Amino acid sequence: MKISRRDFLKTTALTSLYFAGFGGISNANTGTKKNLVIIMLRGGMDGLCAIPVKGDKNFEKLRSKINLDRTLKLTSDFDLHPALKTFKSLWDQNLSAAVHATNIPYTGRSHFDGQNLMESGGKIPYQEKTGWLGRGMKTAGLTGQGLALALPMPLLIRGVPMNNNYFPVGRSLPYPSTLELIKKAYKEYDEKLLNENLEIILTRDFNNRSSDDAWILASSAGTELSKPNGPKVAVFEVDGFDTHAAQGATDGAHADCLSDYDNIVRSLKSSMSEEAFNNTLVLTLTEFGRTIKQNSSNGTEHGYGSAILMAGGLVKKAQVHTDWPGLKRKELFEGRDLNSTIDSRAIYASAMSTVFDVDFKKITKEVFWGENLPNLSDKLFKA
Amino acid sequence: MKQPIIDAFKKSDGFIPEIHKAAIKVAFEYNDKYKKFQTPENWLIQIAKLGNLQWPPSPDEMASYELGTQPSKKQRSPEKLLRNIGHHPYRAKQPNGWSDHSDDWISPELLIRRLVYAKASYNFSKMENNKNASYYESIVEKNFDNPSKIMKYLNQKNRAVEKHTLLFNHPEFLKA
Repeated sequence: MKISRRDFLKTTALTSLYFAGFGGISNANTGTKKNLVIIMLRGGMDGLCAIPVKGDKNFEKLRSKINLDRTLKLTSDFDLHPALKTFKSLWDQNLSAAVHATNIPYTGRSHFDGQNLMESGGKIPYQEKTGWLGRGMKTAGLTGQGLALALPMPLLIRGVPMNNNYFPVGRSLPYPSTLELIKKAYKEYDEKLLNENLEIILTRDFNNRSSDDAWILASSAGTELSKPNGPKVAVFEVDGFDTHAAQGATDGAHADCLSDYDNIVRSLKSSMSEEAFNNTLVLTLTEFGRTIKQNSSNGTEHGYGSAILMAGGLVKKAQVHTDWPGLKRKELFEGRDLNSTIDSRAIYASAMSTVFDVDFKKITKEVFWGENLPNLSDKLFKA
Repeated sequence: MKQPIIDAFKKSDGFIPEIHKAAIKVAFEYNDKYKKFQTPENWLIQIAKLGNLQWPPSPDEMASYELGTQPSKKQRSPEKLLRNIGHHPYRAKQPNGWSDHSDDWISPELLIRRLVYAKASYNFSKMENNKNASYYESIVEKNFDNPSKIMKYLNQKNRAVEKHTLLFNHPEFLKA
């Protein structure tokens, strides 16, 4: 067999690169750690307040007391609430996007039922004892790689064992020697789950005396998500979106909640390494949107369609992805709410497929009971 | 465990008193056979009862609240403590109340609450008990199946605050 000089050089160059630690493109991709962060916006986030539609006189008239007098520009059709400064800054770098007129397929307008369904991913409230994210992690084999910044463990992430949660108690733990005796007792009584959780407490690098402010929690989470062997999934909660009265506009109750969300994203971005943030997807989740029309208390009632805010390096591009249903009376859901034209479970299934590197069909089958959901991975996320 | 209740439902055509009777019977018959990880609220009340603590505030203290006024710090303490251990009385995330599944109450942060508040419960113990050497013996003798084993476990530490932490985090106490 004849070996040409060119072939010889190619072979030796590849061998040298291999031993230098460059194992080839496919190995490098498999080794990249990707993170999924879900921020639950409890109370019903008003998608039309976060991302108002431009130039709709009817909409402006229906919300005359809670219209935004100042906005940030997104596209020719949509603006952004000024409280979402970090989101806008990421948008300018192609690191944030939104899906509008979307919701889980739930129209009952009850917080209890809606929040249960947004977390379980089911259709009948309280039927499921696990969350769609927990089932997705189980499908992907991500045991022990979830971190909830909440107390107790949210339903959303239940369904896979050994998740961690962090919500500082503000006090010191007992002495290590006392904890060791308790650990021995757990072992003696074969309390595996208790023992595993105690092991997490003893080995993790969290400050139990810290504050439980969301942005401080986000900073701790960002550090953990950046670690190669750290968690791959994190869950946050922001309460208070249920603004029946004095919703406010540029400032006020809803703006404060949007600001809480924005602070979490800002804190994540600043605490994560650039590489980690570039391989992260941050999505919001809410139970429903709010009515188009303001009520007599200058608030809004429970509605249907809302928006999902997305951030991180795995967002495909800055865009408002929507199949806009319109805001004329006949286009509204039951004549009062923004309609939902995109099943938000399709977005979450696509996100899990992208981040967990699991086939989309497998996700829909194992997590959403084989529901016929469209795969939006290519449209919304970087593969 | 469920079958006798299902049978009572079918036999009585859903007559509630019969179903309740069956449920109570099952609870008594199976109590010793199946142990369940206690919810934080149950656990805290058990500590207060077994440890003869100066908590919760007395019925007289709570009854002294006058409608329309701000509750006192003492009157607010049960709510605050339950919130801190992750089991707020009015903030269940579903209308049928808090979960009664053991697994839902086991996570690092929830376990930290048990460790930290078992330790803190020492601050609510009565002065006469702190100085009484037979205090723990009496608790253990009355409430545990194998008192000598539990006492051996407790006696590995000398300070009362550590004995509190050990006792109220022992598997036999966490599960009932």
